[in-house]
Amino acid sequence: MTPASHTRRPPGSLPQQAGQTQRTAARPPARRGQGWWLAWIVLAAALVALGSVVGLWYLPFAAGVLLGAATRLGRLGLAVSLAGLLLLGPVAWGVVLGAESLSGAAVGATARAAAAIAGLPALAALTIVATLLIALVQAAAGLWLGRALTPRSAWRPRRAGKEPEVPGMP
Amino acid sequence: MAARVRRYANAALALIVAAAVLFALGAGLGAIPALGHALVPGRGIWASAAANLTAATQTLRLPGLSGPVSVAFSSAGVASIAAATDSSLFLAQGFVTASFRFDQMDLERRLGEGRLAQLDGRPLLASDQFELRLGLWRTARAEWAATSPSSQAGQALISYARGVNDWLADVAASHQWPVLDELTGARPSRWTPVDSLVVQEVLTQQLDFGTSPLDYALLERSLGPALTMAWFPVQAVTAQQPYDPGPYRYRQPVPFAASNANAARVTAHVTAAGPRPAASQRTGAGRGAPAAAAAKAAASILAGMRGLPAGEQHIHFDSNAWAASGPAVQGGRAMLAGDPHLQLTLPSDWYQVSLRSPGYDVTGASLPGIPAVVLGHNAHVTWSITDAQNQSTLFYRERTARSRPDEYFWQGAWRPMRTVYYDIPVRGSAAVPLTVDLTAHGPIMTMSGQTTSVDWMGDIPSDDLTAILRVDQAASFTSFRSALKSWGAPAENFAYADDQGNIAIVGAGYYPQTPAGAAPWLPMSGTGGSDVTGTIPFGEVPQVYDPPSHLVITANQRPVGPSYPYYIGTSMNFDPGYRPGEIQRALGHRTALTVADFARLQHNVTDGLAVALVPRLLSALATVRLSPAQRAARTLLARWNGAMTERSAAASVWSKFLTDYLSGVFEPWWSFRKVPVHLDPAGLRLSNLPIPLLEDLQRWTSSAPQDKAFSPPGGSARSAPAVMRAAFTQAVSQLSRRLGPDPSAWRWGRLHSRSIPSITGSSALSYRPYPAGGDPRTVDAADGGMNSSFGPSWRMIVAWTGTGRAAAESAYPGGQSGDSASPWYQNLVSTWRKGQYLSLSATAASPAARRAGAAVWTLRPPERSST
Repeated sequence: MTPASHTRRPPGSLPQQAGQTQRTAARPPARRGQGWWLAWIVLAAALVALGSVVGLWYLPFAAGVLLGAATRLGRLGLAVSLAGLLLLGPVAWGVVLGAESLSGAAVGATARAAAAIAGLPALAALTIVATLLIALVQAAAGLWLGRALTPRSAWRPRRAGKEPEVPGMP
Repeated sequence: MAARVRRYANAALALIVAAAVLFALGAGLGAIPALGHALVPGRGIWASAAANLTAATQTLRLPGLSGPVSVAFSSAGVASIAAATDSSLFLAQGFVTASFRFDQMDLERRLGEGRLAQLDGRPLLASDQFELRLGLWRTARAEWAATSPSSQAGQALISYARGVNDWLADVAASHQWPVLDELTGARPSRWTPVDSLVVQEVLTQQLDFGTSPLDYALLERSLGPALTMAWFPVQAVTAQQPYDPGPYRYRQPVPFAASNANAARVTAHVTAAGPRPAASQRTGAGRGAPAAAAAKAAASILAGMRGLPAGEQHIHFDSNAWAASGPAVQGGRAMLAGDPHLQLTLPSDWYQVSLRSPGYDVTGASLPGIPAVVLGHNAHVTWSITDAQNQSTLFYRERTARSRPDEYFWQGAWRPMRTVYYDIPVRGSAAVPLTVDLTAHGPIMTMSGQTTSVDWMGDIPSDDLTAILRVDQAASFTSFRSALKSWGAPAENFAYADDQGNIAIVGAGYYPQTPAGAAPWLPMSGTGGSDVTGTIPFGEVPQVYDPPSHLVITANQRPVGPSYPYYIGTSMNFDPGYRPGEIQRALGHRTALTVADFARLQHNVTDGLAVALVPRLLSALATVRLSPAQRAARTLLARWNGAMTERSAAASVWSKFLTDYLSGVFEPWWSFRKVPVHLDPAGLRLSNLPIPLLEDLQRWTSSAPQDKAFSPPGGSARSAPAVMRAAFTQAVSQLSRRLGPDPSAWRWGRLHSRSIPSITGSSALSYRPYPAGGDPRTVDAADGGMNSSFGPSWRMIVAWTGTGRAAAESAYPGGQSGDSASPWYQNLVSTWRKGQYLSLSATAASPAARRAGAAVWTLRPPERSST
């Protein structure tokens, strides 16, 4: 893959190899653009955020699994995957924390107390970063699992050569 | 094929990682909490962030209330509770206290019930093991079993527990658990009356469980009996300051109100077939028992106690209370000052509250976890408390034999031990089993070296709550003193003043007595001849009422003179009397004393020992050549009045000199006789200035400067002045190295500080060290080392200005809330630190108070659903 071919390729799609053709019959009924996928991711992130409010701490993982499957099925690129990872994990939880703080909750003081009680330096940032990291780790673990368990879609063309992998994705 | 294998391996690995992540976040991993639950926004720790950190005016529905209650909060967070019934009053007290202090209450009950390791893992396992051996929980259960639910104490305990549980139900519904609970994932169980009694037991342990007999055993083993009793005598060698010199008559000890809850009941079942143990079987019989075995046992028990959280051992005692009356006070009635000294913590041991109902109208300091006000004032009387300091812990060398496991020899026969089993839950690992054996004396604390049991007064159920409830209601000295008859452990001096101008001190509680010839300051034979025979009759316990001096003072000193006909402890138990001496000096022969006079005295930092010894030091220095720094230091001392103020440079010289002087005299003996300081640093380390040695030093310096103690064993002869000069030289040298060459810059505050640690152990949640005056011998005492965290936990002054009228003020180092995020967490520290006071009166829930910014909770029973 050359830089030129990379820039010509629509963002988020898998690169095509030279001479490769796609059979119309194998295409999914409705291929969606990346905006469509991002909209779903944002919706999922909102659900993750709402779920956290009622204590569903594992939703970033569940959403990550779906994201992983989607990256397989929708042939989503690295950028969308990373964006999804951030949206479904730290952003979703961070928005809730931010909203709590804006509504007057003592987020900073509580974070500081939690860090101190845990035996860490009494920095609010530590607890907040730990919270966002937990969301991120969950989403990443889910993404990996979703991709690993999702079979390649039937419409994907069979190729003689090795299928290119999304850099950084298992 | 390879690609397929890779895919399967990838999927398997992803599954494993995902499962591990979910498991770790959902269930925790070892000591790491379940962070998924703990840190999910909206719940976990973040839910508590949304909780109200102070108090907002609102109406709350509480199940169990029998009438409406209003709770008015001052801007500083002090709650005033007014209820239509007594039971509603205590229910509301439980609810309000839990709202602001539940973590503290939960930690206290966990401490007493041996459940701290469930929160914090193995580091606190030793504490749990010690407490379960000692038996606070067993005693609390026995106390509750002996309490009628319809009695005054029973009603208060049940109502209080209901209030706490109403709060727990609220929290469970809102998910706003305290941060500590969320981080550990350990949901607190419902509060019960036994939990309140366990909290009472924990305080009893803090004030009453002593280890001086173990120290005596270690000293006898190293110094030998003669030197031990010469240097650590039963009666101190210096003049004491008893609050009542007597005379007292001897009357036979009376039985305790209840039997020891931690002793094996002796039944008819005895193993009579066994012969009396042969000498070779004995593990101790009488004072001639192998000292090595006794020392080993002492070391084992003391090692077990080192696992206790800070402040749970009774090491320091610096409480003050005094009262003046008649011509001694302005207005001619009575005035009382009290400042109980405890381990300072954030949150404080105290929760200030005002309670009003048909049966109560009392304001003061309460203990989170226990109903009622422990010290304060009502409409007619006021009182404060100091620890009586009598020996309440007696150790027994049990006679056992390898051929008779689980038995002990007592009163001529082999007896079966009673055995209790526990499984101690430990966070992050499997539960740890514990077996506790009980003898007729109490629990066996160790079988290392010498099977040793303890007979501790705190193990005897005592109806302290009934006593304090009646004290809260007392309207005269007669009813006040009568209320104290049911007080058991810890023995306390109750200082008293009333609106009729009467003052008093009553040393209420258990004073265990042993037969003549026993040596209760040492571990005693457990075969029956040295058993506790009872306690001093209430009429003969130390007490004073309206003395001609119009002044009563209690400051942990020996309360009675040497002619007192009962044994109550040794020189190791009591304060040397520098504080009561200073109080006497400041107040004696004064008239028309005011609240300001009492307040000034509560902040007095004059060291009475310095006043006594510095002139001797100056005399010793008069005839020798001094370096410029030494001359400057001597000049500082010569111009000094003994005040350990933060800015005093002389105070630094004195403090360093005293430590070096005491070490200079005794360290050669300690080294030569191999005193095992490491086994009990708090009691044996010379730098901690053991009280009997200070008294010895004071007396010898003043009247026996050639005492043989000044000459090191095997060394050349020395006198007090010679050792003083050496100590002074060493002190100046060390201070020069540490603080610079100019003695005038050696401010005491550069060496000495105070701090208030958090009960969580986190330094970030503590009140940081700040330069401070005082030392362990000053009225404003600072004990526990050069960074003192032991001191006046509450200061109160109540002046009676008429019948039913008092001017009352108080201050304490802390805040009403235990939540470090709350503005009420440490908002009262600055007032206390500056030596100021706040009014100690109820905040009315009136419209005017609301307009002034007071928040009011209106508590009502739940609405009945219409059918």
